[in-house]
Amino acid sequence: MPIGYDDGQMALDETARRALDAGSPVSEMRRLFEANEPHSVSAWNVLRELGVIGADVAVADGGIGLGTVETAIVADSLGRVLAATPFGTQAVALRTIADHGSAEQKSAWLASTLAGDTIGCVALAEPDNDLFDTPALRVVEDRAYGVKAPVAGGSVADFAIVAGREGTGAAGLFIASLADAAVARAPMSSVDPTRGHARLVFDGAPVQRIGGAGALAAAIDLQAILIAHEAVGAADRCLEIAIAFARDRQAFGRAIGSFQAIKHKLVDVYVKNRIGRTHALHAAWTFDHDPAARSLAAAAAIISASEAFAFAATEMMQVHGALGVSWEHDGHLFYRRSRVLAAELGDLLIWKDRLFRLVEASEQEEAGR
Amino acid sequence: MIFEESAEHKAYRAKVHAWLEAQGYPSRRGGRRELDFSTPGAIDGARAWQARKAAAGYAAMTWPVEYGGGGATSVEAQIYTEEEAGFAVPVANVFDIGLGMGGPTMLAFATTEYKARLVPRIARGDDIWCQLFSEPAAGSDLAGVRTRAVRDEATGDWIVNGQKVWTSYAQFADWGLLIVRTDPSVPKHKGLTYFFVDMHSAGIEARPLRQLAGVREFNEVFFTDVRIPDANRLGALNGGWQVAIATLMHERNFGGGGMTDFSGLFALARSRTINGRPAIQDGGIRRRIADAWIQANGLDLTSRLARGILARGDLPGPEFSMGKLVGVRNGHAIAQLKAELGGSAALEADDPTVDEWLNYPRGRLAGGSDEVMANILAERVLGLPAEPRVDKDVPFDAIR
Repeated sequence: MPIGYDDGQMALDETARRALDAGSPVSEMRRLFEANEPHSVSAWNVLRELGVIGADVAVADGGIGLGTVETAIVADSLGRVLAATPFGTQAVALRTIADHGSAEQKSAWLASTLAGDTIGCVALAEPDNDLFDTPALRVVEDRAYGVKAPVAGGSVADFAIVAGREGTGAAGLFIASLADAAVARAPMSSVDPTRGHARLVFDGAPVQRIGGAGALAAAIDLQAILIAHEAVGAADRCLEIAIAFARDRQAFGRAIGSFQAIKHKLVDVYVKNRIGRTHALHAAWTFDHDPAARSLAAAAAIISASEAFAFAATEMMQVHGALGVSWEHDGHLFYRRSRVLAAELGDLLIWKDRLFRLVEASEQEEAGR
Repeated sequence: MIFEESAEHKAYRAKVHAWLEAQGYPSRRGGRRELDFSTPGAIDGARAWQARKAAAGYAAMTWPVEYGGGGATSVEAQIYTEEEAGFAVPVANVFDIGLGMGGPTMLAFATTEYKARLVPRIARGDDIWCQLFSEPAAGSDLAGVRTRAVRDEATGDWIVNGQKVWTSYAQFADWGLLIVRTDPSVPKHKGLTYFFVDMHSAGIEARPLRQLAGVREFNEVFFTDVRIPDANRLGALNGGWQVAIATLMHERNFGGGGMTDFSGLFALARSRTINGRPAIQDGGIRRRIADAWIQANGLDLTSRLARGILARGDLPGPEFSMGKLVGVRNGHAIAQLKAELGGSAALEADDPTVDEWLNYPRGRLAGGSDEVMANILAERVLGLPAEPRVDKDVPFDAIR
């Protein structure tokens, strides 16, 4: 139910959906979930074949030269099938290197990452630190000391873009190979093990600085925007599944979807989904076109999309009755994913306070005019 | 991309803004606010403003120029509405029915002669219109109206008897949009006919009803042997349901009118304390303001999306009718939060937050109850099965 795309974006959306429905349906995520595996090779291969890795990276850097909206469309399609793939975190790593990296860093990392041969991730969140824009991880003489967790894709990535600070200086981003012996990588148990969450412990691992506070702020916003798009894709899929069931299932001699109790519940889901999707689309657009509005838009996107997804998954299960809470039904897979997306990059309590502060600042600026 | 305004529309916005600035009204934040008609001079002031807009081509903007409109595109009209909301101009809700429903319905269904006579008067604010749809026994189920029109075979006129209710501005109205039953022997949707009626006709009595906040905006309207010429019929005899549906489609709007003003909410949250600390530092208050902002801004972005869709030549789909559901719920949540922040002082009847809070329950019903709007979305957008309609194929006079 996307609204607002142009013709090219509509075509990309359709192509990506069709390819993922065929190559990485929800049953693939279920297979990995039951095997406790973090990464779908078939989903990754679909992305490589579609050529969408680095959709928003400039042609001069070896990318496709489209925009953040196009990368977000792919994230949305991945959300619809609960794909088990680090596409989003990879996209943030790629964009960070392309936008902020030196020529040497670009030539060292971009080509194989764009090809999908190397997997990158972005490590922002820290345990016991609720402010992801003020990292505790220290970098001393190009070596990192600290803990990052949870890191989505961290259990499968080859390298990480890590938030940290040098001495008393401002926070920034650093690039680190995860193959180094001074990085201890521990997969984390998770209600959804298909996000590849890991705890990364850096004990003197060599890193290179890639950008300062501006680069960190952009990475946080982009990560939030792509999580929001995965969430709205999944939320719309929940609604579609619930609608199909409500049209089909008979009770008291009628399809249950003709009862207002079900109708109004699904309209509430629809309305939340649309508000979330509108914020998510707008935030993706601001990333390339309206940097002053970007952080507030990204916060609104991750909050409204995560809440929409959690509500859609919950109500989709409810519409199915007891079937919806069985192991065999996909309901709990969506429900699990909704919890993970709402917590892996700072939870919504943190994001709402962040949004409040941004609104308050713009309010004071307006009033001062 | 669709959030981007074209250079042409940016230029149009600048032109409109300059015109508005030159009219001498102070700028303001927080969206369109209508004057209450009961304020002395409000109707005359709003009428003068409407006439000034009409002379400049900014009234009834999408209507054809020959009928007093602006001959503008829907996007230009929306841009004007947004810009106008930034100025404290005197607009009054009494003109809303004529501008929103009367004019469009007349343009679609009336004869050239009547269009030429009545439509420009709506655009200029000369005439006030009302919508005579709901009855004591027919609201959400509008096709159940019982007000009867019987033809006077000698003259061909229609003689109307019955009662309408919840009719906003009927006490001031010059013209009314009226739906009545002309054939009770057929199923309810098939025996209705639509007229426009001169509200100064003999036999029409409007009695204002008091609303919860004390204002007398809506009325009960009694029809006693009211004579309506057949020339005032819109659409076919017994084809009134289709015309009524068309009128109601005009009630659906695509948003616009600007972003909610949060300055009042921030001021209240700064001025009171919870447990000795400013309320603005309280996590619960901060999250409620964040939630309200997300909803308000989401709606504002939705109207930008609708405008983008119009700008590329497509019609926004029925999904945009969710605006009323979201807008009213969120407005109510904000009013409730303001009332709570106002604390016991806000219990005093003249506290400014009281009226805002008192009026929101009305919004959940005006222009179609939230439940009916949700049914429409469920059936037209989500494709869920229709409500059971046990009286659908039963002759109206055989029901109950």
